[in-house]
This record gives sequence, structure tokens and C-alpha cells, in this order.
Amino acid sequence: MTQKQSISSASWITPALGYSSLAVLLVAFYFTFTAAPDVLQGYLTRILPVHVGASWLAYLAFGVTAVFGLTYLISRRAHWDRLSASSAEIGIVFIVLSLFSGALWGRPTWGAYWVWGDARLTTTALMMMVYIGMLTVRGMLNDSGRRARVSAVIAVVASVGVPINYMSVYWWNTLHQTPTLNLATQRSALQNPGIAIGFALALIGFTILYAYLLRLRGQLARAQADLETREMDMELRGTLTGATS
Amino acid sequence: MSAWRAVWTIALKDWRIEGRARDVLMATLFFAGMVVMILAFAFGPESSKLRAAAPGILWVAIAFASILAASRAYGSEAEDGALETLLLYPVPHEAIYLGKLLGNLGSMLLLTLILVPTTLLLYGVTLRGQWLEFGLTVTLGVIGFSIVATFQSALTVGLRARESLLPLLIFPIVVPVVLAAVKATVGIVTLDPSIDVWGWLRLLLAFDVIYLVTCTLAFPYAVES
Repeated sequence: MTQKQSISSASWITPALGYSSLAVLLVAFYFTFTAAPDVLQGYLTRILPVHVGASWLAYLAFGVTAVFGLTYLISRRAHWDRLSASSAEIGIVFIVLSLFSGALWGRPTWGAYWVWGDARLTTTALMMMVYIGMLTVRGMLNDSGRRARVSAVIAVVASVGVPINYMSVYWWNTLHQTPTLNLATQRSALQNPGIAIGFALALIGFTILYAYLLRLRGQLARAQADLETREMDMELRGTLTGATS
Repeated sequence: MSAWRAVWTIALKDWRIEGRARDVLMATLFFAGMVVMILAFAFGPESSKLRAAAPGILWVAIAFASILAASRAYGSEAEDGALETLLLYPVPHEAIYLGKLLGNLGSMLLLTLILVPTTLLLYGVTLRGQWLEFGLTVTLGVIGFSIVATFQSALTVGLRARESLLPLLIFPIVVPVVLAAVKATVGIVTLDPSIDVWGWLRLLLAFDVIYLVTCTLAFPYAVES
């Protein structure tokens, strides 16, 4: 009975999250694309809500990955491991979007697609590598207990590294190079009201999108885990009947 | 057996194996030597260019060697269920990590003792003072690599394609060590007053302490069976 109830509640919450994120993002993009061109960056600022929104989602997803990983290590419930891994997958998709849109924005503003001395950019790329490593390791471990433990440990150790990586690249840059020309910090693109509204709405829309994708991926992961146990049960039953006949 | 005795015993065991087989030292030494050589060919014969690139090349060689050494560190433990037996000993698992770390550090420090003077010599770099700072840079840098590499190596014991996986797990985390060690080395070699050598050394020390604590605490979760 409780099982049925949880499924019926999930069946309306998940699509509701999906549609509301779509609606909020459409309104956000409407404001973004109807805003007046920026004084310094012209049409370039239109990328801001997507770029910052995707980056925020990716950082949120990796933060959740580490917190759920830690929760798994304490509680040992497979549920947290599945959500942690699901969150990491979502994070990788959006971090690629963030780096790609950032490169497109960086070329006309910084003069280069990639700037090694920028702490945010470099830290983001390194974070992506760690979580790709984590998912690769997961793919190689068949024992679900060890898989959960190892990926949780990688996520927790990686989260310790994020501020250290950021600070070290920041010092590396500021102490030895002239600071990178960054138009966005000299005059915030958010002074443009259309972009500011679009940005605020995009943050909300991307957060709802994250909740939607996490629920969806979590449900899929649970179904996969159920399938695995059922297959093992059937195999076991098969060998047992085979032995008795 | 007390925990510290266990750390020492495991380190001694690894050093004894290394002293007899010279497995890790030989593999890493020739590998690091090849890196130093191939980068010299890649950066061209101009000696001024090579001298400027030397600190970076030295740390690239040490970083690659430390990954190779780490994948070997559990090589002997992966055979015949040796790691499971080791974990059965009634000592805290943290002690096993620290013992393996010390064992790995022994080979790595021995490697740098040979690699560093050779590289500086081949690239025509001369040290003018700041010996203490240079010694600290090399030691703290190698310890930083070793802490992370030994830990990630334990996580991936017995996995397929482990050799290609380890760099992916180790490099993104040890980037601060590479930055700080290269910067400090450049500062020492060029005597450039604009480079704050002690500042970078403090960063190396902070990295080592933070990761030593994190990895030691996380190790029991990584290996429990």
C-alpha cells in the first residue's frame, strides 16, 4: 500500500517539476532576449543566464553528490548512493554546457576561449575530471557495496579539493600575471534590467530543472537496482530447480 | 601491537621488498628519465629555453613517476589476497594507510635524490643558495603527490584498466602541488624576488596536512570488506 502511494505521488510531482522548470526558463529567456543590448558587451550578455544558470546547477549537483556520498557512508542505505551518482551524472552534463558557453563568451570578452590563470575556469575543469573519474570507477565495479563506498569516498575527497584548487590557481594568477581583463566584473552585465530579471528567473528555472532530473534519474536508478536483484533471484531459482530436477 | 608500531612494520616490509626487488625504483627511474629526455627534445636545443623550462619538466617527471609508483604500491598486495590478509590484522586501518604511504615515500624520495640533480645538470641549471628552501620544496612536493597517489591506488586495487584510471583520479587533485612546487622551484633557481618562495612552501605544507588528515580518515571506508 505504501509502495503504491509513493509511486502515485511521484507520478505527479516529477512531471510538475519538469513543466514548471520549462515554463520558468521560457519566461527567463523571453526577458533575456528582449533586453536592450549591453553598453560594453552588446548582445554578448544574452548568454549570461544560460552560462551562470548551468554553472550553478553543476556546482549544486556536485555539492549534492558529496553530501549524499557522505550520507551514504554514515547511513549505508543504497538509496543515497543512487542519488549521489545520479547527481554526479547531471552535474557532468551541465558542467560541459557551462564550460562550452563560457568558452564562447570568453573569446570575444577575454580574447581567448580558455584562460589558464582564471581560477573559476580551471577549478571547474578539474572538478569535471574528478567526477568523470568517479563515474568511470563506478562502471568498473560490479559489487554494489564496494561501488557505493568507493564513489562516495572519491566524492568526499574531491569536495575537499575544490577550495584548495581554487585558491592555488588564484594565487598562481594574481601573484605572477597581470589580472585577466574581465569586463563582467568591471561593469556588471546585471545592471541591464532585462538581463537581471532573466538571470534571476534562470537560476530558479535551473534549480527546478535539477530537482526534476534528479528525481527522474533516481527513479531510473531504483528500477535498475530492482532489475538487478530480480535477475539475481531468478538465476538463483534457476540453479536451485536445476539442481533438484 | 600499537598503531605506530604497525605503521613502522608495514613501511619496513615495503622497504625490504623494494630493497630486494628494486621494482618501483627501476620502473619509475627509467620512466622519469625518459620524460626528462623527451621533453628536452620537444622544447628544442636552445639552452636558454631549456633552462627556463627545467623546473616544470622536473615536476612533470616527478608527477608521472609518482603515479607509476603508486600503482605499483599495491601491486604486491593485489596478489594472492595479500591485502585482505593485511586488513585482517588487529590494527586500525588508518595505520595500514600510513605504513603504505611511508613505504611509497621511501622509493619516491630515493627517486628524487637521483632525478633532481641529474635533471638540473642536464638542463644546465645551477642553484645559487636557498638550499633549505629547495630541499623543502622537493620533500613537501613529493609527500603531497604520495599522499594522494597512495590513497587513490588503494581505492582502485584489482580494477581493470587501473593504470589509465589512476591519472584521472590523481591529477585533478594534485594540481595545487604542481603549481606550488614549480613556482617555488622557479623562484629558487632564478632568485626572482617577485616570487614568494615561502608563501608557496606554506601552500605545499597546508596541502600536505589537509590531505594527510582527509585521506587517513577516509581510508578505512575505502578498503573495508
